[in-house]
Amino acid sequence: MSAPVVVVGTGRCGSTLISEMMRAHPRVLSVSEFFSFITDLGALIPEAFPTAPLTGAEFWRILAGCHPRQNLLLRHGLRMDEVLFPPPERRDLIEAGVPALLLTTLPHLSDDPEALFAALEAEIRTWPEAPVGDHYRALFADLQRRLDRAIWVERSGGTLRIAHRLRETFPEARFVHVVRDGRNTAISMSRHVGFRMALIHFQLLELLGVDPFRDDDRSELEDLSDELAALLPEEFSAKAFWSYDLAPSICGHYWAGEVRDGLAALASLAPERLLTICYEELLERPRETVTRLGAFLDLGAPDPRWIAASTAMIGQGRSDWRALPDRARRDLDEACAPGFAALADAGIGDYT
Amino acid sequence: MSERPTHIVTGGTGFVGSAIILELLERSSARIVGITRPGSEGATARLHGVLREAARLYGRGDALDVAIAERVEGVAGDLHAEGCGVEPRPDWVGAELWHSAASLQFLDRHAESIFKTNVHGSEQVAALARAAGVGTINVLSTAYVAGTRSGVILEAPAEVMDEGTNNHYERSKIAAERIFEAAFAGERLRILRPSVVIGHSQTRAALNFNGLYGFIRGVYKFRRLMERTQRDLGSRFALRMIGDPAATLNLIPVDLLARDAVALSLADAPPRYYHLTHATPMPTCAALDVVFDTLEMPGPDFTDDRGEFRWIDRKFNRRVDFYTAYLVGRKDFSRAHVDAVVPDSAGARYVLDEAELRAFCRWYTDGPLAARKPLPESR
Repeated sequence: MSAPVVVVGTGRCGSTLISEMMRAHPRVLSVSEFFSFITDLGALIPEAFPTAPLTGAEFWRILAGCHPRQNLLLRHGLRMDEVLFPPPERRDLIEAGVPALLLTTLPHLSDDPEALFAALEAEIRTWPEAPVGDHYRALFADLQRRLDRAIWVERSGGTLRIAHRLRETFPEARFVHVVRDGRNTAISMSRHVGFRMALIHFQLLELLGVDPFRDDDRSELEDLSDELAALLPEEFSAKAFWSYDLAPSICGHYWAGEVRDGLAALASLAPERLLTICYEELLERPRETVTRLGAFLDLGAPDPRWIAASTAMIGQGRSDWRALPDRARRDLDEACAPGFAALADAGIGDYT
Repeated sequence: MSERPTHIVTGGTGFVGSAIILELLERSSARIVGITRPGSEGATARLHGVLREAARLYGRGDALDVAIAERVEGVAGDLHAEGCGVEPRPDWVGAELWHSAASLQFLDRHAESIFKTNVHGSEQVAALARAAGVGTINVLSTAYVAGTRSGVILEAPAEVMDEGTNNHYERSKIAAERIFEAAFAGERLRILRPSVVIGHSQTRAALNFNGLYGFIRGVYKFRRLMERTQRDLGSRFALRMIGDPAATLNLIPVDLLARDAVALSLADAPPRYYHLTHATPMPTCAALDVVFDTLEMPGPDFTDDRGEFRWIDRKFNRRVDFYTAYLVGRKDFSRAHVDAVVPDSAGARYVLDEAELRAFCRWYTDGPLAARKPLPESR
């Protein structure tokens, strides 16, 4: 039996396309945005990877939590393309709060995600105490059985940040690392609802000295700029969200940090357990790259129909750093430089 | 009726006001009336609590507890109410009033609140002083009513208009001075102007974390913020800041400011303007190196050209922009009036070198900053 696969990347790097290709494969269970949403866009990472064993009921709370950041976005009509459920007209559900698992992961696997959610809840709540990794494995195995798939492939935007945790939790897994030019990645992040929220949250957290979604202490409010203060949960508006100046250079800085740490976390993987795919390669040599990905899945002889279908999914990246004004382009180059240096040291890509 | 003089203090639970009360208790036999918001515990209990805490922070232990209990009384009042919401008492006639209550906020979003406290509040204190028939008024202002001016700053009425100021705080303090100047022209009015107030000269402890502490916190938070997205960045990257080799940073420990202020009062100093500042402030660039070093960051690279800023420098400088106004341009605050009345002024004798400044910074970084709540991991 083939080992499962975890797809990691900085986010906005083309990994969603890999998810879509996986979904087209008849033997693959493609688990999408699972870790993004159960960690509330990266804000609840330690909570999703507890060190102590937990019961099924406790594990279910991780999966089914109605988390504040993603639900605040939904209530204000700030909907990521990745979010498939509930439909915008279901205001009742949106106002009540939507469980993490229902936003994207289950709608990709079932036309009736609420029924699948209920079925999983009934079963998982009865599971005995176990390490969280065993619970995740059991969940994915359950979904594989329901959908008759041979392996699971999980892919969430931005999970390079938790590559070390994923390696510890799934020591048997193989990894696909998707890399994209940091400058285009950063431009895309600066416009993406989820990444904007994640990076704004970092700033609120550090400048306010508490997580404003979990602690109403505002004693350091004076350290927030007017623009950031307008993004506190009690002040939040869609207008303030889009008005906030999240320059691509900040996102480039984030990208560079993710690449440096992510490469370090993946460095000791045996070559047969790590496949690095550059997004630009996927655009330039689609068939060759998709074939390489298919071979890495290790699901028998190449499937020409899957390769053709996957190749047909490949379009063109929409962000182009070259179109930025001079100053912004220089800033972005500077911000990304440590990430490019780390990639060059690892012999990945050619982003000079 | 008591023979002891009475001092009425606004802002007695604040950083400067509490230090002045402690100094009055030590250097005089005066009775103190603190006009104080009562909070949930009542005006006297609240005021006594802050004074006892300050006394302990400043190394006096419980030595002043009896004096606080016997000679300090809190009177519930509110700067935002007419006449501070206080009914003057007969024994306040001829008393000395210290107005030290102020808002130290500076962000644009707080403009209304800053002016409400510092300007409207001063109007109410002036009305109370007039109604009570006090004999002398000491207004705690700021040396930075000098605004953007540089060079020798005389102890004289503020010359700058709004366009010559750096922020709402400065504008509000100029307006407050003018309220008292207009209301008490020719009367016993002293305008006392401290520079940047820091902790106690011996224990380094502070009650308030604005000014120098706000800047330290700004640098600290910027480092943490950058490191939340890129590990170790703060320790391997020197930020660029506007630096002025000629500039000096005028810091005055709160106890020395209080000692000089009370010395002026006890010497019955004439109604004038007084700079309660450090006589020999240290160069700003050296002071900033100490701050960054305390935070285990490389010292900043100083430049006089914002065009040399990289994107991260622009982000940083925007975050500490409020403080930049106090880091450039050399202001030589004349102390002629203070020195004439208090020849052995504490502010004139005090030496603040790099080691001493480091001790102040350490008190803050190892104490209040280190005691902040732990933040969640994001990896």
